[in-house]
Amino acid sequence: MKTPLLPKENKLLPAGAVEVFTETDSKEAVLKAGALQTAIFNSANFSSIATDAKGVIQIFNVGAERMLGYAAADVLNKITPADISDPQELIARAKALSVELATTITPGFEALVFKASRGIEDIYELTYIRKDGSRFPAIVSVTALRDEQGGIIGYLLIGTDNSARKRAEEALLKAGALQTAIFNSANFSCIATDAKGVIQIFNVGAERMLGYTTAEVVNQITPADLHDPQEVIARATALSLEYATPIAPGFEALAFRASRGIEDIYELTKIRKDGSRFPAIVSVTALRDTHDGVIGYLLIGTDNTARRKAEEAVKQLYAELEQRVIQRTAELEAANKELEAFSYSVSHDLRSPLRAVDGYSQAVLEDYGSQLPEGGRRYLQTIREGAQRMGALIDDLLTFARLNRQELGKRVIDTGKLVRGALDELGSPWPDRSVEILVGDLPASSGDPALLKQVWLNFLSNALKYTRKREKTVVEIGCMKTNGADTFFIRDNGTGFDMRYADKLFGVFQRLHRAEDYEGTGVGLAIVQRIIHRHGGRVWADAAIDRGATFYFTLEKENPS
Amino acid sequence: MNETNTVELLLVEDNPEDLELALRALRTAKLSNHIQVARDGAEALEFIFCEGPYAARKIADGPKVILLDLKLPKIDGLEVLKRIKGDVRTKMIPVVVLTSSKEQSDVIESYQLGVNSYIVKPVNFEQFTEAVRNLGLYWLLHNQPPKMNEYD
Repeated sequence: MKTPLLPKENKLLPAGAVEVFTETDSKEAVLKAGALQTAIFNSANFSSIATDAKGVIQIFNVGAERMLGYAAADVLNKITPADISDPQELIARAKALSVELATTITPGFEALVFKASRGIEDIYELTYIRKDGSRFPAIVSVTALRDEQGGIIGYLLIGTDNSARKRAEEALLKAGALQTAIFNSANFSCIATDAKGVIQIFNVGAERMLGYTTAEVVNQITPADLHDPQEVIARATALSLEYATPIAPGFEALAFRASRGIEDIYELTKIRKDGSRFPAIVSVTALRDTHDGVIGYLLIGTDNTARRKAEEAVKQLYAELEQRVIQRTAELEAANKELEAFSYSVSHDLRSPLRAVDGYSQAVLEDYGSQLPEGGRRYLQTIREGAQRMGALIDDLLTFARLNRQELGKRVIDTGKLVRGALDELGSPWPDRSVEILVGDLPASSGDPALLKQVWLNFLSNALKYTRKREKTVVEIGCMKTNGADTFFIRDNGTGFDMRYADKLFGVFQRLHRAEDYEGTGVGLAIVQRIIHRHGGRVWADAAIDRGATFYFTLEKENPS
Repeated sequence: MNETNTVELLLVEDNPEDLELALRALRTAKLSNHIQVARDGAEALEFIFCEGPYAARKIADGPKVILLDLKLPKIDGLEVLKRIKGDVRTKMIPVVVLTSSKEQSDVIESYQLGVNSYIVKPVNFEQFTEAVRNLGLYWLLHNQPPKMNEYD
C-alpha cells in the first residue's frame, strides 16, 4: 500500500501516533487528517481502526488499544478487524448480507465492510474479542476511505464499547417476578435510570403518583427534575459538606450515596406534572454490572402524605396534651396554694371570734352569774358549748385538709407499741366504766408513725364512745390475713350502726348518730380513710344496730388471687 | 419587788376581744401589774427598742417577758421576733408566741428565729386562762433572767 490515504502535512496528530505510523509509506497517507479526526483519534473512549483496501489494519488508536487489549504494534500490518470479531457472528452476518444483497459475501473482512464499500453508511453491533480472549459487545460504524477519483483506498471502523449499556439493559430486563410485581405496583413509584440519571423505566405507580406518562419522561429527564429544586440544592450542599467533595445540585445529589454503595433512603418533596407537591420517601440503589460498575439507579418512592399527616396530628395532639398538662399543673398548684392560704387564714382568724364568744360567755357567768336565772346561765353554757364544738370542727377540718399536703414519712412500725401509745394517750376517761381491751398479736406495719397513731386514736376513741352505754365495754384489737395482706381490725360491742348507711361512714361531716346521743364532728373517720388511702391501703366496716361494729384496714396492696 | 417604771410583761395583741380576755386571764392569775400593751408590730418594736413615744425608756428596763401574737398589723409577729432575737441588746428577752395558729410552718419558723415558747390559744376560755396563768407564773416568777443593763 504505497498510495497516500490522507494528506501528509498533519501537525496535530499526537507524538505517539506519529511514531507508530511513520514506519510505512501507507501510514503517511493515513496521517493526512483534520482537527476533528485528530480529536476522534485521541479519544480513549472510541476505538478507531483504519485499514487498507484489503482490510489490513494501518491505524489502531489508543481507544482501540484500551478496548481490545492489543498494542498497535501487535496488529498493524498483521491482521484485519475480522480477526478480532466473533467468527460465528461474522458467518451469520455474511449469510444475512448475502441474502439481503443477493450476492455471495465471504464471512471475513468483507462481511464487515461490504455495505460501506457500496457507499452505504453502516452501523452494526457485534462482539469484539480482546487479546485475552474476553468478549464485549461493540457498536461499530464503518466508512470507506476514498481517493480523489472515488476509488476505495481503505476503511475506517469507529467502535464503542456497548457492554455497559448492554448490561444495564440486561439488568433491567433480567428483573424477576418480584421486580415485576414491584414495577406493576401502583402504590410505589419505581424509576430506573441509566448511570447519568436519565430515566429509562417509569412504572404505573410513578405515573399515577407524579402525573406524567412514561413517554413524557423516559430518555427526557432525570428524577432530580421531579423534585423541589431548593431541596435538591440543600441536599447537594449537605452532602458536599459531609463527603468533602463538590456534589452538583442535580441527579448527583440524589444518587451520590447510592453510587458509593451506601443504601440511601431520604424524604424529599416531589413535584407533580401539574405543579402540586407531596412528601415522598425515596430509596435509591445503584444498579451494577458484574464488574461492579454502576450502570444505573433504581429509585423506589412512596407517597408519605398520609404518614406525614398522621405524624403531624400526633405531634399536635402531643403538644396540646403537654400544654394541657402544664395548664392543669399550674391550676393545681394555684389551687393548692389557695388552699394553703385558706387553711392558714382559717387557722389564724376563724378561732379568735370563737374565743371571744366562749370567753365573754364565761366572763358573764363569772361576773354576773349570780344575778342570772337558771335558764340564762344554761343558755350561756350552751353558747359556750357551741363555740367549743365549732373550735373542734375547725381543728378537725384543718387536720383533714393538711393530710393531702403532708408528706408521708414511711418506716417500719411496731404496731403493738403504736396501739399501746394511742391507748395511753386516751388515758382513762372512763373511771366509772367497766372496760376490757383485748389486744391480740399485731405484726409490724409500714407507714407514717404520727399519721397511723392518729388512725388508731380515732378508732379507739370511737370504740370507747359508742360503747359508753354498755354495762361492760369490750374492745378487741387484732390482725388477720385477707387476700394476702395484713388486715388490722378493731371490734367493739357498742351501739353499732345500720349497714344501709355504711357508704356515708367515711364522708366528711357525715354522722350516723344524733349529736345529743354521741358527740362528734363527723370528721374522724374521714381522716382515718384519707390516711389509709394515702398509705395505699383500704378501710371498711361491718356492723349491725346494737350489736357492735368492726372496722378493718390494710396498709398494703392486696392480691385477690 | 420592781420599780414602778419597770415593765414586766409586754403583751402584743391587735384583737380587742383577745386583748381584753388575755388581760382578764392575767388579772385572774394576779399577774396584771406592770403590763404594757402594744397593738401592732411597729408599736411593739418602738417600745422594745425605746424609739418614738418610748424614747425616754431604757432597753435594760425590760420587759421580763414578751407575749407575742403572730398575725399583726403593719409588722407581723415573726418579723418582730426576728428583730428582737437579732439584736444583742434584746435577744435574751424571753419571747412567748401566743397565737391561734397551729400551722407547722409558723411553729417551725418561730423556733428557728429563737422563740422561747409557743402556745396555741385554746377556744375554751377556762383552758385559755389556765395557759396564761401558767406561762405568766413560769416566766415572771420561776424563770431566772440574766442581768440586762450591761448592754445598755
